[in-house]
Amino acid sequence: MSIINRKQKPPIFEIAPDRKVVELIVPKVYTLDNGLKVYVINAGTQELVNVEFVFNAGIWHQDHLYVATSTNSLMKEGTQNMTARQIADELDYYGAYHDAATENDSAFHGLFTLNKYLPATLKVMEEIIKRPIFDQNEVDIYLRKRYHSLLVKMEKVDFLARIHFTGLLYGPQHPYGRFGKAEEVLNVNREDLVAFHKKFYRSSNCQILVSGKVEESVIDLLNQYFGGDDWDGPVISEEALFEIQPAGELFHHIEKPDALQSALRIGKVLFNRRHPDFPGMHVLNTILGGYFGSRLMTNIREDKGLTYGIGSGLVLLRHSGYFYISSEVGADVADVALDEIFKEIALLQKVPVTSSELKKVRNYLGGTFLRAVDGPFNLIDRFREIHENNLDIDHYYRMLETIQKITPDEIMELANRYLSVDSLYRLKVGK
Amino acid sequence: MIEFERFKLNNGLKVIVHTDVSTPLVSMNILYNVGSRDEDPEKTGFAHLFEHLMFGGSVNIKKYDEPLERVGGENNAFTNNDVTDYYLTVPRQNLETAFWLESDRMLNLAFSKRSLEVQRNVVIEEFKQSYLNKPYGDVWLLLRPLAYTTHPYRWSTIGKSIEPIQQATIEDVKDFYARFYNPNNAIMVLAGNTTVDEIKVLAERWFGSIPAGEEVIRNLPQEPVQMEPRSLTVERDVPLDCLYKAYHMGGKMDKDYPAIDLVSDVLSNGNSSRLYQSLIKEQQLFSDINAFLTGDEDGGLFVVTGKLIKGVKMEAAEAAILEQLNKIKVDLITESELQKVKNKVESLMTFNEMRIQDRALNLAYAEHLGDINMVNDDILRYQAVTSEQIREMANEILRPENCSTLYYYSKS
Repeated sequence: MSIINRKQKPPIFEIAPDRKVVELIVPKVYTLDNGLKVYVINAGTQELVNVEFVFNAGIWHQDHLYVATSTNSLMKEGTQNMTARQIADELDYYGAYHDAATENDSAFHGLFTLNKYLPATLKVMEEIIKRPIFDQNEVDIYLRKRYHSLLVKMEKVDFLARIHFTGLLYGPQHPYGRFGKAEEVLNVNREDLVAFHKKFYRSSNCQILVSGKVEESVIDLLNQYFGGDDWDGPVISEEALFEIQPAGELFHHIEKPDALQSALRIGKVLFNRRHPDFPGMHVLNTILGGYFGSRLMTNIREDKGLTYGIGSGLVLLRHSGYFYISSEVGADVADVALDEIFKEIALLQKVPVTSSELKKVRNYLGGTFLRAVDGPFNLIDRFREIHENNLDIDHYYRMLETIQKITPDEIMELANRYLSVDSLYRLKVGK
Repeated sequence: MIEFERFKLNNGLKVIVHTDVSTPLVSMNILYNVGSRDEDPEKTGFAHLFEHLMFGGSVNIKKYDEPLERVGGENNAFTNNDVTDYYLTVPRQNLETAFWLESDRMLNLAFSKRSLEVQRNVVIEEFKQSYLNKPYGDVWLLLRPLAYTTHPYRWSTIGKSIEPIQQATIEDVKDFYARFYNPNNAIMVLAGNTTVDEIKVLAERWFGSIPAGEEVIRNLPQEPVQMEPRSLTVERDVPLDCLYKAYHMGGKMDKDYPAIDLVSDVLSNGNSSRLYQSLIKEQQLFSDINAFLTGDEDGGLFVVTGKLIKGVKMEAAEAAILEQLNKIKVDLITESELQKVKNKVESLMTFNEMRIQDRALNLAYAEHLGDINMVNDDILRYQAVTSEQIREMANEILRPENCSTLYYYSKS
């Protein structure tokens, strides 16, 4: 047997996804009889399909706290023709998963099912989406359950940090910043849920995304259950706009005297995907705290052992976006960690990234992109990201081009423009 | 259907290949047959600490993560009571780097003192973050020693406490490595855009020359049959009272495992399940309820747990759970309820095959358990279960004298 030289690493091939990879994200588009758009990505090897109903019915659209999430979650708890129990029985019988998620800008009803049970489960989805009745008893049970779960969450330093941090960035009146006490969820009233459903859960305010191993018959089925004019409504032409009112002070501390660790959040309002500097900031964020080999992770975890994990990210919303760094660190070393975080930001502002580090990040992000478009469910998520922001796949071309071409000077320039120390909010929850 | 081929190197390393050309990626999964059950009772938490040290550099490579990221790859690992698993995904053209990295740390570690020092602190912070600084975080630190008196399952993978992690020495690390991290104690799976011919060449080139180690012979103290109910009452600074009931059951390969799994599904899988419908929606005693199996190899636990609605008495809550358990012990479940839980299992298994990374782990774990064909025919074991078996298993497992109960009270 030949002896291999283990000091010699195997050749490294550049990972730069080409246009063909990006094109996988482009769905087939269909229009139902009532004008509702259906976007289909057919790929994958398993006999599974995901049908996702997307509504402009997010936190942004509610007048009162907890109404958007409660409406969405309660839609499956009883309809004109089915009790909550019958709905649960049917979906469970077919081994289907129904997921009602509410985000800042949109609300979703996702159905995951084996292909063979799609006709039966879509029929149940029709009830959930078009005909929920928000029975008072079901509302009470749901709100109490939610209240109890919030009580537990409010004891976690990372959860507290998350809600208070966006509160600082956007202000308590802004939909992205507003949060309440746990008991406020008990104030939600049924009439608000009925009204919210009536206004926003309409074919004119809906899109359907289908992914998986999609069969031909899906469009006929969707037309049968969702293509009629029985759930039409006025188009919500303009979204309400809100003023961002950030906190006056940059430094904030929420006391939790018994905490063994403090949760840290640092960051500021930036922008969303539509901004021309987003692709560059994506690279900068990766270098700073966006992957295991990032500077924050290397310094604060792998060199100093101050935390189990630290990272940074760009949160991209429809009307805004923000940058954050987050970690949970030993209560006695929180200030050391903060100092080190700011040292790392200052380094990015003063010293150009080496070509070796940049090369690594280019390849890492190339690989990340390949993973992010692997399989039908990932592909439809990537489509959703751009579609929600009225972008097309050129967005991903630009992103991949920036990953390959951005220079150390451009990165330093972005760090100076967007991460200046006196613009960053700092929040500590804990000791 | 997951297709695969298998071969074995002369040093005992088992290799499994699953080809899927619809992806540009390849996943590599290396499962070492060592978990926290193999720890010295005085040095608990060590298998998991060791997993962290596997990233601290090997004999020819300074740091594990950096070269992998450089070729567009990503990786992680986990440790449980039974096994330690390392997995990565890499663009197919850079697959050889994965072989270079994984074979070097199987050949020999760098045993860096500095890495040990840092990772001790990282793991202590992990201990605080996940077990001490979260409401209900210490439940398993309490429940395991209550349910197990003898078997090493009596401690959690993170360890009994922080102290032994603080005291771990480089000699401990070397001993552990020499005992368990050998090719004949590992299973390697490659899944994705590759072929068995390519893997044969790469595996031989990079792993073929790693010497085999001594065979690991497990001689763990067996857990005696529990003869009477046990309980523990604690009070903590949490918002809600919480109840845990843990019943002993057989291991993952036990012939009755699928039937017992379905008992837990009848009780709590999905919103139509019995505990959810009866205890959350009808009687409104709990805000959250769950029944699940820990799935440990040498005999796991069937756990029923719930958080009580404020103001509900623990006795009433427990009685209501026991009433539901009693029902499944007395009445046969209906055909449609049986079909429902089987359908759920079928779709869950299909979901778990979506990603190559999951397929790789499923293959490695099935091979580890001793029957790789389980990845495809485990579903048949579930489909064969009858209502009578479900009732029989409920009677066998859900007995008071087989149960350890943790009453976890809110201080306020």
